[in-house]
Amino acid sequence: MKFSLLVLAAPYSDQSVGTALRFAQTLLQQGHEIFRVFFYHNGVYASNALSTAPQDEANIPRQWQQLAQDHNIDMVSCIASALKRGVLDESEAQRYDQPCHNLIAGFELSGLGQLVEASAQSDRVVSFGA
Amino acid sequence: MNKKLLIICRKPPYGNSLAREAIDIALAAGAFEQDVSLLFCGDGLWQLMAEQDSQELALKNHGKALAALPLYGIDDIYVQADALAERQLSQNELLLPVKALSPAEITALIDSADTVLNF
Amino acid sequence: MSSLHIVNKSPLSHSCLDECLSCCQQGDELLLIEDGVLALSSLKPQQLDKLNALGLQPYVLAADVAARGLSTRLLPPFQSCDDTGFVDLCVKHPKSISWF
Repeated sequence: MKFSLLVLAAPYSDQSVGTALRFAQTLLQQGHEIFRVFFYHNGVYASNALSTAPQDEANIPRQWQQLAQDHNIDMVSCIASALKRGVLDESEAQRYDQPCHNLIAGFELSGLGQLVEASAQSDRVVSFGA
Repeated sequence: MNKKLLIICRKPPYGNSLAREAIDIALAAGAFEQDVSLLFCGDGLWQLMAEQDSQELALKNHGKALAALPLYGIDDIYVQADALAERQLSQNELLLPVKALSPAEITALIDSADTVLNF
Repeated sequence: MSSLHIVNKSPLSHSCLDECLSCCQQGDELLLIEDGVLALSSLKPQQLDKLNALGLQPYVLAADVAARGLSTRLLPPFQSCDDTGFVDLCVKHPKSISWF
């Protein structure tokens, strides 16, 4: 079955980011497929490459990045949510004349149309809220 | 097949950005010509207050975002009838024409949706 | 078309569970995750009545129960559900509705 996930929770603040990750890992193990993970609201912090966790805590953006790499999953952070929260890719950093970019590799910034499409294309959409 | 998307709005405006972000999803779905309906429940009804003035908050006027819904082809806008009464609100003072639903009608609306996004 | 309702907030300090229960119908199921599992030891009598009236099966996510030290409070009508069970519930019901 084809799933999409909507992640709104903030890493390191809300447990739901971790619940979503376990859910994603489990459904892939069961042979289901992920069409897209869409990060919205505070969820976009999960795509900040500069997140630096202490050694005894998980690096949440890297966990999602690993999942994306291992299973070739489309990970999208909402561009409007991300820019406001200081998560930029190279082209947005150039466009807004910012000194650096920090979108973690494996993610892309895009608009809400990607969420709408995910909802239309997937058998199931599961939201992980704040 | 055009799937039916239902967005449930339960958060009051301004205190948290989720109220606004839910409406943004509705507008995007409308722009992509999806079949989208909105249901305002509980404190989400406060989003529909007429004459909102958020200038001093330096936040965008939430009422104006809602007023754009019909322009995006979104006319299926519902409110929870019980929540209106609890808040001493009446349907005709809201900023958009809405249909008030009984608990049974709300259950039926949810039942008929293919995807529900609940904020 | 039945729904899986997913609640992640405490039944005492948040209205999520009450709001959820007011929108449930027969055939739906309820999965309590994260702080939602606190319901194991703090469900209000009205909430329990509503669950029973709807014949709603409440599941609790096992990892969240264990983390919060509530394993000994896991009694009927609650049933434990692991992560695999979470996915299975999402497959079983045509849609899920998250209450947060």
